Amino acid sequence: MNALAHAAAVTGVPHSSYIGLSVLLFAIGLFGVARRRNPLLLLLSVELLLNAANVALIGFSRYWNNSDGQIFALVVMVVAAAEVVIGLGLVVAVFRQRRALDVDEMTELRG
Amino acid sequence: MNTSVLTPFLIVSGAGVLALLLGVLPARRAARMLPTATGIVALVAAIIMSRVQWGGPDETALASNYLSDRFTLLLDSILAVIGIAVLLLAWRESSSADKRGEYAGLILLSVAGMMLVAAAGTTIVLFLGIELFSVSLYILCALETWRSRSLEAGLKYLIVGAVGSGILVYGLALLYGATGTTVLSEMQHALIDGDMLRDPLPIAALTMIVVGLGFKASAVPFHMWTPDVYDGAPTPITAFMATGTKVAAFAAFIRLFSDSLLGMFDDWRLPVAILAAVTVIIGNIAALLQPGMKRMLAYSGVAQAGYLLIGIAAGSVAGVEAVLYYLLAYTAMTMAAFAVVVMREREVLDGDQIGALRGIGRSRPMMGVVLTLAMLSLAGFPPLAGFIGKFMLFGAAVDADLTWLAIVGAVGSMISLGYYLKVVAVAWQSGPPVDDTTYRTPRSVTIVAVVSAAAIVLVALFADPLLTLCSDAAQGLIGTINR
Amino acid sequence: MIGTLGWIVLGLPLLGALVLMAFGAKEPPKRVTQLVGCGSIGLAFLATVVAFFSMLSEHAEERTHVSRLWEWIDIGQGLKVDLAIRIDQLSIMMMLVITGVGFLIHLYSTEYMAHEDGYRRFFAEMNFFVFSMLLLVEAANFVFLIVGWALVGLASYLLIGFYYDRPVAVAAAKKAFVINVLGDIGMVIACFLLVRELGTLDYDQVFALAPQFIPAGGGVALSIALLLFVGAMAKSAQAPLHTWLPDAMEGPTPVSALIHAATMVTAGVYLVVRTHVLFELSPLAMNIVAGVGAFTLLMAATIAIAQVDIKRVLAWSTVSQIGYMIMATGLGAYASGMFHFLTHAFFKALLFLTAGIIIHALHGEQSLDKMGALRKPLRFAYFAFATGCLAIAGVPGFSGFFSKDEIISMAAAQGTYGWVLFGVSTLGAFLTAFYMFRLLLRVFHGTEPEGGYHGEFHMSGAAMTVPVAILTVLSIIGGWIQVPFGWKKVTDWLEPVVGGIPQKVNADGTLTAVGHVAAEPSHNLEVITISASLAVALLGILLAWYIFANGPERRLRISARHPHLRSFLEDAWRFDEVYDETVVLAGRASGDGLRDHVEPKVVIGAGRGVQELFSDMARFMHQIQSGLVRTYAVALMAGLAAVAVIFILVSR
Repeated sequence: MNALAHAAAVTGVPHSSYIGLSVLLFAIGLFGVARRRNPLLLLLSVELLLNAANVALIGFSRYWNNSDGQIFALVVMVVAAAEVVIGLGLVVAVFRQRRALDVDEMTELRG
Repeated sequence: MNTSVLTPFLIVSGAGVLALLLGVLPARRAARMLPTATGIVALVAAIIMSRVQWGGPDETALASNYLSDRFTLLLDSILAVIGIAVLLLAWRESSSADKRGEYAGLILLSVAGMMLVAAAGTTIVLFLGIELFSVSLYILCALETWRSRSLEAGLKYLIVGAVGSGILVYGLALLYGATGTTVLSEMQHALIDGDMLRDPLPIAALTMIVVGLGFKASAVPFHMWTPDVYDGAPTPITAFMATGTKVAAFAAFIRLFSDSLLGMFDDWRLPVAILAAVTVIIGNIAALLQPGMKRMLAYSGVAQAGYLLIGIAAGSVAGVEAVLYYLLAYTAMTMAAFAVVVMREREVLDGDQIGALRGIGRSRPMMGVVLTLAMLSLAGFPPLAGFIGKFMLFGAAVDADLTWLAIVGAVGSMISLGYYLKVVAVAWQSGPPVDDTTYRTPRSVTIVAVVSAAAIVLVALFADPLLTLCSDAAQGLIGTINR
Repeated sequence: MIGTLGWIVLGLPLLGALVLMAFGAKEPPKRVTQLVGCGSIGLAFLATVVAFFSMLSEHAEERTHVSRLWEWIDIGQGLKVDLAIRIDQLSIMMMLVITGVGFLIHLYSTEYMAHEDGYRRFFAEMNFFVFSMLLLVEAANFVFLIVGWALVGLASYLLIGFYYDRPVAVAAAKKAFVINVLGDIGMVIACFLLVRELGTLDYDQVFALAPQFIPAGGGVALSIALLLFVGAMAKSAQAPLHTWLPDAMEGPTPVSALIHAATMVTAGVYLVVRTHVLFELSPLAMNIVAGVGAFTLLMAATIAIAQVDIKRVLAWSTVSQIGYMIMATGLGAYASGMFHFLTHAFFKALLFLTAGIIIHALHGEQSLDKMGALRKPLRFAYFAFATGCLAIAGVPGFSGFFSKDEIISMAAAQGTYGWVLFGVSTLGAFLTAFYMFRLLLRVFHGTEPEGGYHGEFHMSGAAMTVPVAILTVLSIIGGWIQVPFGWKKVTDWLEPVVGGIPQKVNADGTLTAVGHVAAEPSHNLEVITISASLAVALLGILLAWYIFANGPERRLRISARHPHLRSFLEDAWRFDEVYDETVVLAGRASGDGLRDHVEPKVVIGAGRGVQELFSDMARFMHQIQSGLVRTYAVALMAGLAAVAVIFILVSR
């Protein structure tokens, strides 16, 4: 019995579910970026995007049965964490200046 | 495992961390300059290391994650020079007085990230490099925290940039899903051997990668962050973004599209060409009538990305060679233009406005000449470097049966005269100068300006040896596939 | 030796320009500017003359000198571009005119521009122009041709817009530049095609390989020729790219004389003659070239009749005469075209400089309505101008007669199409005589304008009169070097360059001729054509005498009877308005809701119309750039969707 079937037999999650979940997460993330005005929630949506990719990576890693995908996913997680930290720092700096948490009000730069 | 090939990258990133630490030291006279000086020394060392390794064979390190071929070495040198120029532009900038360590350190780390992109052997490293330089840039843009526009630029860049990165990484994930490997050189086999070409998966992967990289390169319609971020960021950082980000983004394009994805050329040829055409036209039109230099240069950079995309769309060795040569020319002329803006900003309030440049041909003839050379070269005026670069890019397109694209590029250049020449005209107008300042431009800025301007001329004059250099670098990439 | 001289001739004006530009903010004394500005051109002329005489002493076959300074680009795939110049019979002819007539005009300008601000700037820009023009004609490959071409366009822009505080002048400069760049694009694309087909851009190689590798009469040959011709049309102001030249009269008069009469506008003629091998590969292209030349010469002549500004008459006359030259090249009569270029340079420069003397005397007045009865007060100008008019009208003995008649005769000898062209050019000759004598008579004869003249006439000094005198003499004797039924010095001189039919080597080693030589008119035919052009010239002069010689009554009566015709001609056949409306329609069709309804613009027309279209598009884009982050993110996603759609469509 090959490894893939073995894996499938163990957990019983078909491959397409991974893809489906990741697409769903990605879509929610995009939607969130489009709709949300609070910068914190924007960052949250961005996290969703990155984690959608992670799910896809891990799903593919199972399909191809090698570890590249998982390594990639770990790297993405680290990067996402760093990005969020910096994002939060920036949001705090902005908040200190404006006392508002609404990206639609940040339109000094335009044209 | 051959770690010696990693030296350029290690030197620069190590220096970055060192600079951050040095920034913590109390600000006595000598110590104030220490982080920046460390940076410059490290970058010079990186150039030397790249030069030393030039003649040697191609190497891989870290289990083929890091490739050290001539392409990497050439780009390492270009990126290091950009880093030095930016550090010089920011030298003695009063705004960064208390943040010297961060300033220099982040610039170095960003350059290191760009170097990583140039040397990427796997999609993981590619992504890592992109994120490293991008995240450093997010902070750098916002570093002048007392200016709300700087903070706004940083936050906007981060948000939009993160979305772009998310799309890119999703595309890379799909690419992994289609090929089963993250190693670039193995991918081309998988894509050709396998019956993948009609599969939706690689196509979807391609789409998202094009979008993600196009965002970084400021292609239309992913460019909307560029004018705002360039405008709000501190000017030396804008110069850094205008040059370094473009170089890194196109290095990524070349690594992916001229190597692993070459097998799918027929699939991405036309979409990339259309992207290039749209970018050229819209970038040039939007640059018209901009009153501020930084914003104008931002839109002009969008158009320039379009020209570079023409070279990518050609999908040939000639195309890559043209892209590399144009990146050289583009770096020189953009740096020269920004040096003049930096200088003017320090002298005059609202120095960013084009009107502030009126009459500098008389009051500061050297800066006037530098600015004129930069503008004429950007417009593609013969016989400067910009003209030769565009000639090579459009020529590669014609060779690849994309003559219509070359025509679009030429028309775009014609439109661009409308805003480049306006700056030249304003600079040489006689009449009372805007101010009568006796502020002396710091020598570091003058050095950058003069050297960049000289580079514009030299890159044009020595076109042949430089083109051979780029050709060498390009040959190293397009190895195994015969099209 | 000749090669070195060629570099010296090229370098001297450049040196002059750099020295003058280096002065920066502090203006040097006038003497220094004059010395440097005129001296550089004068020395260049001397060097050219030395080179010319040196060439004369050589055998005809040895007269081509290519001098390579530097191998500039050598890409593996065989494209070599050297920094090289080529001095042969054709280029030396152009060089003599550029430096010779150029020197006379520089001399003239020392006095004419003496009251102007920017004296030094003027000479710097003029020197730069001469350098660029020399580069254009001395180039040994297409790359430097294009470099020279573009730099000449830049110089023209600077000089037309010399009075930069006058918006009209700035707009005219921009218009000229825009149209010129259009031509540049055509030429660059032609070069791409040459590289793709032949792999080289060196003149010798291209002209040798083209008959061999580019099929005669095919689409590629047609494309290359037409694209090159687009460049020629833009630079030489042929229809429909001619609209910039009359507006270019906003520049100072010496500029009009040098650039827009004698040299830059003839660059198109030079181009066709130089690359005639490529044109001969496509007979259709040659016919188009001849047709465009003929149409332009007639159209411009009709417009010149109705112009009231003295310089505009001369400008339209230039467009018309260049039409003759272009038509000649389209017929394959290259030497005839170049001969007319030579004589035209003499008499057109003469006419412009004399017009400058008149304008100078009248303190800046340029309108014919304010002139009249000047032949007694401005005797010298009268004789000079009359000489020029006689020359251009084609009166026997004067230079224009020989050159123009030769073109008309050659036209008649080329079959049916040739007869049509003969008719057009003869009609053009009639109109030429008519409008030139109209000019002469209205300025110098008739009555004083209403209100008379105010103040003293500002008479001109030696610096202005001597060059005019020299040009007067040249306008008379310059034509005697090529006489019908007699010697043909110009044709003989240019024979090695433009004579001969390009040959193609077939697979079996035999030769086939591609292209053709223009048929020579027979003795009888020449008699007929000469008589015809003589007759129409006299007719034109007589008609002009009848209407204009004795005061305004007759002409006012006639123009009152034909108001529509008059305004149609005065508005230059409304080309600008047509361009503007087309651009407006395009703008509206692209759904640009911000654009207002535009009334037809009379003065600046096409240039401004295009500018406004782009300005509106730019402003629209700035509005989209709202500053809202979420908009940017949504744009990103929209772009993603668009790219996905494109990919899907392409993969089908």
